[in-house]
Amino acid sequence: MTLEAYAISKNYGDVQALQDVDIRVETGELFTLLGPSGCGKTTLLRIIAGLEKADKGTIYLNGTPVSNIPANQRPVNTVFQSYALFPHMTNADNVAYGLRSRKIPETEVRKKVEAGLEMMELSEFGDRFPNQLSGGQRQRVAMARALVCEPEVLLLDEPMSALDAKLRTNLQIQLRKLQKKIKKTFVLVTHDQDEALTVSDKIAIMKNGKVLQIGSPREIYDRPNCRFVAEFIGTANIIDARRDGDVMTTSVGDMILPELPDWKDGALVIRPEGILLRNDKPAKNGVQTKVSEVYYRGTFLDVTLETGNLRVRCAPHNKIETGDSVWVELLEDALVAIHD
Amino acid sequence: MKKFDKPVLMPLCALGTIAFLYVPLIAVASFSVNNSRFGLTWEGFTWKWYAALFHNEQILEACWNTLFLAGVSTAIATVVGTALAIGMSRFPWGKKTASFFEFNLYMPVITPEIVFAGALVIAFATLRYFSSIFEPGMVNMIIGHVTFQVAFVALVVRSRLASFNNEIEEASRDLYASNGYTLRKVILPMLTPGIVSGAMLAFTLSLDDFIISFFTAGPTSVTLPLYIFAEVHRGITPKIHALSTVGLLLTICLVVASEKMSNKSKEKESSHA
Amino acid sequence: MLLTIPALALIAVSFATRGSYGEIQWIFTWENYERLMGYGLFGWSPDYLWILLRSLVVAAVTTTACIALAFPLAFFIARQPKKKRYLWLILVIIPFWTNLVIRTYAWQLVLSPDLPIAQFAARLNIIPQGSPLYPSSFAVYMGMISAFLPFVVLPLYSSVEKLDWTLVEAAYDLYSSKKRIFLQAILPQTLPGLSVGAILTFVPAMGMFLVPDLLGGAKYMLVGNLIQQQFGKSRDWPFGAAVSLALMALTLIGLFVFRRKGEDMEVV
Repeated sequence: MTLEAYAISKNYGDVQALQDVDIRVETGELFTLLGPSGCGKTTLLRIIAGLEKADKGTIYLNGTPVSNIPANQRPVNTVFQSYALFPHMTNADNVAYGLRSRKIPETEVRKKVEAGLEMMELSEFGDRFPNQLSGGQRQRVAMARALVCEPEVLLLDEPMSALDAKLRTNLQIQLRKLQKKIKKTFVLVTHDQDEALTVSDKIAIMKNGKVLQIGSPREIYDRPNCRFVAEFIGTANIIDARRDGDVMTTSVGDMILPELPDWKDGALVIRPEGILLRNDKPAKNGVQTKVSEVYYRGTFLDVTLETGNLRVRCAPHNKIETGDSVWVELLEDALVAIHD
Repeated sequence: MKKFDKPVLMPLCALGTIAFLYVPLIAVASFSVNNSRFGLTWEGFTWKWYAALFHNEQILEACWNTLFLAGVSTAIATVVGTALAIGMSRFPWGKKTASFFEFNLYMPVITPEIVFAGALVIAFATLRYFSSIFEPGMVNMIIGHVTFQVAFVALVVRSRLASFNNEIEEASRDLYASNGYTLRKVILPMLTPGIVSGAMLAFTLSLDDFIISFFTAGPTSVTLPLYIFAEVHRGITPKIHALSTVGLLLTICLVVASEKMSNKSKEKESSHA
Repeated sequence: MLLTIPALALIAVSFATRGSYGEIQWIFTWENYERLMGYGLFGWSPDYLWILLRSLVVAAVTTTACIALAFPLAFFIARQPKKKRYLWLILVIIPFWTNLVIRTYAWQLVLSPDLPIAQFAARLNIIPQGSPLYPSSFAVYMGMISAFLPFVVLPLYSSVEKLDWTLVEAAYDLYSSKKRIFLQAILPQTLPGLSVGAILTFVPAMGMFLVPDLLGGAKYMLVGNLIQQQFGKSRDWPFGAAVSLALMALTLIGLFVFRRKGEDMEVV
């Protein structure tokens, strides 16, 4: 089922939580709302869930507006940040809650709950209470509780934020697998860029109530459309640039781009992996400089150059030390022109 | 834990303070088994004052009145107080109404009881113009007790209500539950410990109350504290010691039982957190 | 609602006049307040003002004494091993829930002439041989302090239990004297419990009626007794209402002063 949020605006007093936000999520897609805290991502999720009303704009499910349908009638379910499991019910009763409140016959409820627990590998925990489970298990109960209702869209509000780093990586992969298996539409809210890149089909980067860029993880990472997106995800070298004829004049030297931007003054973004160390002067986009800092990071070397404080990532077997004189090449295809 | 500086003085002070609290109670208990009608010299052990309790119509009636008053007023106060607490936090009242309610909740806490009792006397006298139910007696006492109990129940329930987050209720709504279903299946069960402890507090407050009862009681609605008070004014007797000791023992049982209960529930909540 | 109506009635009645049979006559008057201030039929006398002042003093002394006694006890309990703590707490809770009538008349018993305390006092020639130690201000204070002690100990204990001892250790580490450790590392942390306890003591102590009635006698009247008298024997409700409101006002002022002081303390 497709989900569309059209021109959503929401104010809390003087604070504009959302300003004319448009997103479109295709059936079976895992769509992530990514941004720093306070960017409005959770508000948008709550509006989609029906827990909050937008001041302006409409939510469409499969093209039908649902803005006036209250949360308890929308075919949308949520996995809450705190999981919000009912502490006085067993895990099985928690999972059954949504089915029972819709007055589904008890035999059917049992069957579905059992299947739901099994899918989440929780079969043996049905009779226990939520506070007898670990954080990761509780999260899976919350998932099962939402999924047995067979929602058209599953909303996940920072579902991993309460878990430790190792468990989180593990669960991210499981989440991705699960979503591929059941082919439902998922909307995930997170502030964790690694999580977003790992699990998403599409990411919307949000800031101050606005969507800045929507794209696949690869697009977002390789082709940021503004300074904020470039800096928010991964490490970025941002170089002020000016277009002079068909070359770009920058503080680190003249650069050639495959396609020229339509602006005069702006900046170029390049990821550390897009800069290569060379023994000799490269044919294009070469810069001669000295190494100012080197940090050994196990899987790579984190090198900072004197010119423009450019950061470079290279294989750890390279013998580079502070003060070495080097040539680097800023790969033409890795350079992105931004203007903001 | 860090040891405090004066390892001798402090326990001594503490034990002295405990003794200070208990000397009068122990005195009462010991004289309740003294085989002497008057005076306080020890004349041997006896149960006869206790036996006499069960043959005293007045005392039995006072017992019944006390329990009836506590039971009925607690039941009413628990329902009203819980409804008040839920209503206050879940209904979008205006700011002014909300602070008015708030003020009313704390009023009984910061009003000396006797002021409140005086106010009730006047209020009932005024109501008597309209109906004779408001003659001093059980009805007035129940209303009086409920009035101060409600605030305490509401405060206890509200603190419990504040301790669980909004997401729980939102989760229920998200899972297709109507408001009534959420109230029945989620809010009330989760509030139960708070409601129970609020009711227990209300019950003990009622049992304990002297002033409100003193001001609102009629001739047929004497409660135990009132009875003891009246008797003490006539002079202390071993019978009163025996009655007080029974009261004391009941209190001990109640306290120990409720502590055990709250410990258990605490352990349950903390052991898997 | 249940609470506001009586309060409004109280205010209204305090300006009314008492009829000759104790009924309320709705004639507006300041007379009740004038009487309270000491202006009566026979010229000015400070009796009622003394009663108000005495109540204030008794409440303040009781609160202070309870705090002084509660501190060692609260720390003592908090220092006990976890299992034993409950036992000690129960020991404090039992008198807390025991009916006040019983606890107060128990003091009558303890202070009666046949028992050691009164005999000891008689030996010292404080009281004549063979007479009880009550009614007296001493008896009132005993009764009041034992009545309210648990009200301070319990909230204070809950603060002490949560006390962050690393602060105390840090103070030691930074060469604090014992006095400064107490004032700066311990006291501020226990303030929340302390102020709850103080309010729970001060407010009812101001209106206390039972203890002075049973242990203080006619000479040691407090506001509580005065109010009770007006609503009971004298059937002078308007005056009783006026006294009640005066008590309410005094209590609020007391609480306000206390809160101001509390805030100052936190700043220090």
